[in-house]
Amino acid sequence: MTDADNSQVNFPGILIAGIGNYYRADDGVGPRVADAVADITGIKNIGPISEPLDLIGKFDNAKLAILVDAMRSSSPPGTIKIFDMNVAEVRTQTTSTHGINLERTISLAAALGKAPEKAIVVGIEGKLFGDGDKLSPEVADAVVDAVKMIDQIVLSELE
Amino acid sequence: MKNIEETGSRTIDVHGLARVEGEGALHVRIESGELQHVELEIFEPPRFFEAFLRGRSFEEPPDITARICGICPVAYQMSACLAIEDASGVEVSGEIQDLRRLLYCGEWIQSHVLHVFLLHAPDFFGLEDAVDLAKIDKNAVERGLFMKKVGNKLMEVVGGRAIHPVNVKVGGFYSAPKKKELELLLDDLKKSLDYALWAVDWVSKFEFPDVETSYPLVALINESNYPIESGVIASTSGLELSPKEFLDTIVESHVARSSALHAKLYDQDVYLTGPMARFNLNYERLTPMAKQAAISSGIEAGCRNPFKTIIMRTIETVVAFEEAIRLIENYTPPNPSYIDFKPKAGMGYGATEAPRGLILHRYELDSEGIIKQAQIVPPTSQNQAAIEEDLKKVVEANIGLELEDLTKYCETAIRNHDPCISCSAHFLDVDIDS
Repeated sequence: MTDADNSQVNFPGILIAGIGNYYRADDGVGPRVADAVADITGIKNIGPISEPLDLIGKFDNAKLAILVDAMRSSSPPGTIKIFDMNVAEVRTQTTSTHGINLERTISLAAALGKAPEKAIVVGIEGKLFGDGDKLSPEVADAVVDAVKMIDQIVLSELE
Repeated sequence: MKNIEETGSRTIDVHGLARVEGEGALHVRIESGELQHVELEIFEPPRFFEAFLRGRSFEEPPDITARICGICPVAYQMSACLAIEDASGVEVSGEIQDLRRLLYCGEWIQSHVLHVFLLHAPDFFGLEDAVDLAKIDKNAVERGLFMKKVGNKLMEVVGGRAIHPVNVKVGGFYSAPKKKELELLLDDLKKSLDYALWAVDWVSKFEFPDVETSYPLVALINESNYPIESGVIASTSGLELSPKEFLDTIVESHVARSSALHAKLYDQDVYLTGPMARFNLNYERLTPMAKQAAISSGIEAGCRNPFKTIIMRTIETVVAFEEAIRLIENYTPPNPSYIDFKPKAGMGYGATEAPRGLILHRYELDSEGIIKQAQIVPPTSQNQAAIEEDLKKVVEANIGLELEDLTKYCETAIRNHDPCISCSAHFLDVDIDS
């Protein structure tokens, strides 16, 4: 579970990154979904990312960056929400106040002229965030749906 | 900043202080133009790491205590290793110690650059954060991010990963990086050294409030080099103590407003650890380019203005890059990569310099190497009372300012010391009542 090996990169200009930790239960859903999308489609995977600030410099003038992250929004576990970061006002937090959250990271990338043309965040409501490499059943069930939704996002981007 | 006529009382409340690590708040009360009290509240829940360590094997503290902080895990690992080795009568030196210093340089670079460029510098421009700084000085932020990336890479190569390194073990390292792996970092380290020298010049031109502190400064000193991973504990008040003697000298006590213990010398004297202490006590041991940068920037030993810690932090960043380059150029992989030893029953002490100050560990082991007692004294719990002293000076000197301006001033005064509340909880929100 290291940086994905994208020996064959399809869909140039489109990037995906999972944000989270494989070993903190549902926090690992972002990297798992991104890995699955990259394996199936060949989209370049620039994750996994544990600190959003690490994304800067990796966007590589992309047309579209898809960022998959676990969320806590009081929705039922496994709920999937899509945010267009160029349009939506999304308040995000980081577990470390010494870090920069996802929304400010994208703003910082924009200020530095390094942001993707479009950034979409796929948020998946988590349930368990303790130690462990297993997703909760509700979140595990959402993985396939999230992959399909990202596939649709990519297809509509190509139209 | 406007002056206002002082009438009645005012309160500054900052609930959830931004750009510091962890959960805390500041409460300031001013009545009839006079400061009544300043309280730095730390309400991050206690972490109980010292209790977790009891009953664990002597080999576990480097990995367990690294989890106390994502910003300075190496500081915890190194102090833990020293303490356990001390308890067992083992001294690590030579190539293993050099590799420890190299890993620690990576942490100093990561932590100092993050704080200077992304968290502290925006204060000196009256900006909200690094995003706004990037809009007015893209070049500065890009250089900062480059240096941080190089620090991350150094941590990855030596420590196994950039956050919470996994390659540290009691006695040394699980495996030593190959010289070629390290040499691949040299070009970026040299470019970063140039950026760090530029940064000293950049921050030294900031406008600094005229604030002088008088509390003792405490840091490691070391005859051979600028202290990072070893040394004896010294103070500007003339102390020179082993870690054991120092732990016998300070008294940690609980105050109601804080889940972090307050440490004082002889149970009464406020003291400060961190870049200002290290710089003042070790000015003569600065690396050559760092010394020249300090001279060029006009800052010298004796500087007690806490707002100028941002200059000291960039000078220390130069130290870390110079040292990293030197250590890599002279590197011979330690073989074996660790000293294998059997633990002994007894007490051991370890003290190193985390980016934000002195960190001490003490462990009592039984004859099987099981931890009977553990004590961890992080920098922020030592610095908390000194930060309150700074806040009193800042508020008293600027008591006529508009509430909003005074609040920002207070927040900057806290960030001067790059407190890590998560580490100290056993810490931020700001609240000025006037």
